[in-house]
Amino acid sequence: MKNWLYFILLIFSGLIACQPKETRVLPILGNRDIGPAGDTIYPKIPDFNFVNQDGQPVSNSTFDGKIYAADFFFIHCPTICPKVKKNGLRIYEKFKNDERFALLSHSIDVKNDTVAALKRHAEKLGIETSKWHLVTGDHDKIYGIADDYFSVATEDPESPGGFDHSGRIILVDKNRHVRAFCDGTNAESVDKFMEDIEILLAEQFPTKK
Amino acid sequence: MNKNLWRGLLFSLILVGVQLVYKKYQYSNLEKDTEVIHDEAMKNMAEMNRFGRKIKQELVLADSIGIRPGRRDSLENLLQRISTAENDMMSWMTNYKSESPLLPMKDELEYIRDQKSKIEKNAFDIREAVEAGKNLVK
Repeated sequence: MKNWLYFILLIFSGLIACQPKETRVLPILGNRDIGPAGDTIYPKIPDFNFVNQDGQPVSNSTFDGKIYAADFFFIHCPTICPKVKKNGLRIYEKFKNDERFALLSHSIDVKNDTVAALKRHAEKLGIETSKWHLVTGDHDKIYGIADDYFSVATEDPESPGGFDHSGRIILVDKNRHVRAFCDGTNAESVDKFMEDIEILLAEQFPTKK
Repeated sequence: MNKNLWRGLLFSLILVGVQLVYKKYQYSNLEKDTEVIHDEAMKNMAEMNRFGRKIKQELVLADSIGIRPGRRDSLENLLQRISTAENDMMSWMTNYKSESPLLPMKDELEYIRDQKSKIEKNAFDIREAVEAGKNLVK
């Protein structure tokens, strides 16, 4: 009798193990509109043009065919940014050999964080430009795009403050849609974010690895 | 006599130790307060900069369609205050060391009190600029 019970339990466990895994799909974030043809229009990250730590131009086309994680920082930030950068380095290490993914950090201190200062900072972090762009640019354009990211990646669009000092990291897909975000100061939130990156990679590059 | 000397020395050592621990505690509290004020001011700075961008847009438009002279002065004045407040914040951050320099404890406390007072002033200026922006810019 006991042997039969073990056998039935074994069959059940086998059936459960063979069930297809639940595939989570990341939603497209932000308030959507309905277009003239009745189609749904999702908010997109607008065009941008900045300069990275090597003095090279960085625009939307830099991320063509890639997904990327974006955040805002400044080198002399005494509080939030060092924690975000520490967690950013974990993301960098995990995906540094994956050409489908990149990181983009915007400096909001355009006076002090010059290209040379960003280069020194990149060297200190030990990061490669091709994988992680630290960018500077026109003051108002940097703050403007911070608002664009923030308006999508916030639970409360009326909340004061901005993305530039929120510690958030945002995940953008190949079509410039924001798909996920996390609290970059919180290691657990970043762990979940790294899972989200893998989910988005699997969705956007179904055959390629 | 010898016993009393040792007791005296021990008491002095304990006293110095307690003073050091208390000063470290004071420093740590002041440092936390300073950084909370800074983070709050940074949130307000994002809002302040939104007003800054709106003012610049209005001034550009004013060049083509005109503007009341009094309003142009008010906008330019606020834009200047915004720029000064932001520059003050950036200089504060560049100079502020979260791990204080190797100063004697008394100087260390003076240093962090001074930093707190500077960032409080800057946070106040930013809040004032935001309030002025709310009243002046739609």
